[in-house]
Amino acid sequence: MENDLQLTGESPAFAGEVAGPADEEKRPLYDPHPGFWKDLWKRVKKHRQLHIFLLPAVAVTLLFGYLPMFGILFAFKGAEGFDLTKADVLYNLTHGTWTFKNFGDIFVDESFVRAVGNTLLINVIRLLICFPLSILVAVQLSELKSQALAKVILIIICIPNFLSWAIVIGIWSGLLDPEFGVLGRFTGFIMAENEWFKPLAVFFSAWKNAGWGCILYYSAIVAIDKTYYESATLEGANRLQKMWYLTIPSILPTIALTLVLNISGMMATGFEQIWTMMQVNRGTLIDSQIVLDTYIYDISIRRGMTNVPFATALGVFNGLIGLILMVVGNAITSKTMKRGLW
Amino acid sequence: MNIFKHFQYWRLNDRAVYKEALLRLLCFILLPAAVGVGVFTVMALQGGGVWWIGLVVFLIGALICGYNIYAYCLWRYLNCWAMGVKGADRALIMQTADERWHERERKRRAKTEHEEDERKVSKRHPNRIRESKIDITLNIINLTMLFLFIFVVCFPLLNYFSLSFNDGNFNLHVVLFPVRPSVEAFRYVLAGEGAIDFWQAFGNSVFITLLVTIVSNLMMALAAYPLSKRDYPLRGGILMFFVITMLFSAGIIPIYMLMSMMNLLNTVWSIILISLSNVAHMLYYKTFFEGIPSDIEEAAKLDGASELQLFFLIVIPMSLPIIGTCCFFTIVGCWNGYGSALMFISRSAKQAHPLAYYIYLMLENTDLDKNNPWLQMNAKNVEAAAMLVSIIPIICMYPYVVKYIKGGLQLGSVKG
Repeated sequence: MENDLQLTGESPAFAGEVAGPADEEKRPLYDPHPGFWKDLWKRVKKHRQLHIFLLPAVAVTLLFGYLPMFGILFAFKGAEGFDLTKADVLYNLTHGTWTFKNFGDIFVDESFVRAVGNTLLINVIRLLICFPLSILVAVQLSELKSQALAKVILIIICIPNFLSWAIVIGIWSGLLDPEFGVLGRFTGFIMAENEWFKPLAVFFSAWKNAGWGCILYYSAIVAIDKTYYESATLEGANRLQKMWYLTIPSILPTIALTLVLNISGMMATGFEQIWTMMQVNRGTLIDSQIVLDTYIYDISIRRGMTNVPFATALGVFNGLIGLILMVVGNAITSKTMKRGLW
Repeated sequence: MNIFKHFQYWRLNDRAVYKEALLRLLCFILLPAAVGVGVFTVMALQGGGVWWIGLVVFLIGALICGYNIYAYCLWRYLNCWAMGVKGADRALIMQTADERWHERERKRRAKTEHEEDERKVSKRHPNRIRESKIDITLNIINLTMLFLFIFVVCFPLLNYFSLSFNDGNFNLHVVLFPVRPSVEAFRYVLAGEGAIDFWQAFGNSVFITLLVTIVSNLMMALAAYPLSKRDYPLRGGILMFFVITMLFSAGIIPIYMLMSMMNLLNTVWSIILISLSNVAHMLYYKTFFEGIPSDIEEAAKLDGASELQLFFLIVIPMSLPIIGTCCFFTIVGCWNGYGSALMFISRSAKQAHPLAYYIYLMLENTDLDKNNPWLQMNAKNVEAAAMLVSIIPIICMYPYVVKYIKGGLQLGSVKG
């Protein structure tokens, strides 16, 4: 009775009279209220049919989400004596030395430092170009007089989003081919030059994703109350002013949410895109093209599992950075916008 | 069937009506027919034995263009036929489609008339709110930039896919349309030397996509259902159990080792199993299920429904929109993704290549058959042909995209 009142907390004065601080001290920490565990067991029994619903998803998640986490142990194995060709995985895991050296090795690895630099550079340029581009296109579309035309344009510019990266890069490498490509004949070996790799990576992702990205903003703009625009017109605002002082502030929450999401994915560049771009160049220009995703893939699988402990450590490190970025992003959005990323 | 029904509205002598009828005729019959006849002619001129490709192009074109109305009328007609409804009853059932069309047309006309009235009012008081110079400049800049954007999107697509219909010796002159039409590239990919690998990859992709879409979405919806109940015990804990796998993964090597221990490397099952779990979709399902009023479920429970019956007979039919959305994204993701194929499938294991991976290998591979000079000349055309065929399923899904554009995409901001 007392604790029920405390839990609801609707009348603090009354609850304070009945359950004083002395009573609270007596209550054990693991027991939120008397009979908590009994209630829980009752609810578990009440919903016994529902537990079956969760079984398949839990089984798959355990098998492919949690079982591989034991593989993190590989990151703590010494490199000497670790050989998958001589013995199986479990033997290697249980024999040999344990060490933290692999995590230290990450920071002295030159390729890793270069990969992180390239990843950050590509993502910052993307944030500066691709992200405002979607907003710009959405605002422009909403400024059109005929909204039917705006929708037709939107349908057209969404097409590239539904092509796979292999097709996108195939199309552009054909276009930029120095021998017969329509653009390549005038620009030369643009695909195969170091300094053009990052701009092209940014351009390809803009070409593929800008249209789909602007649907979100476009639907936010369409949802704005039209009477605001009418009153602004009566006050004598021109369209540029309406755009800047009305449209942009109204979609600011959407912009902020997408911005935080983008920053959370700062360490991921899109593995398929960068890897395919590298392979179309015959993998010759590794130094400026190496990014974190492709580097991990390269030393993990392409080099035939030669340095498993180091590659695992790198993967775990990358996963941790991603986790931290996501958690921080979620904290920011839930603090400032009262809505989390998940 | 339903094309000709529009002619009856001509007697209404309304310009809007027969404009619409003409437009429909053009879109549904003439355009696909023109493309089909064109391809058929090219085939016949080339002397190839694959004349039926023209027919297939016509059918696909008609299917895409008449997506809504054909399917709708055919479905009604088939239903009548299956249930043995004939004569006046069938006419009545088929008539409802006409009525619906008529209704929409009437509404549209009423709306335009209303707009015209408004326009007349503003004509009567010109210059009340004048468009300033900056607005006109802005309009021009706006339109120019948008059409530039459309051009940047469309030009590569048109240029590259016109290569697939072109003769390899004349690739230099292709800008927007094929200069020397040829279907040799398609014949090579679909019915020639490359056909075995291509259809193998196509079949693999269809298999992977179908299986993953059905199983993954069913599994995630099932898991989301208990989690959407307020009084389900340990709700937060189980949710955290799923969300952790979305936020943190152990990296490539542990998963690769798991697959190799299960002997799943170089099989399609590795791709299928790794893409089954999709926590984001589970969160979308959970949010949607929470919005379903609990009164309905309680009423069904009073009538003696078990949870399983409740889920399949009440919750699923009520949440078809979100299921459609999630299935759509799963299909597109499965069809276009080849990251997991890069990890688990070697390039020699051709029996397990998905279509996107097949195209990736085509791009990567330069060592063509030296004994086949035709292939060396037509390599780009063959690539383009394979790509064009591989996006046909995505094109057939495009009405869904149109739906999002019209309705607005809220999925990105759905709170879990």
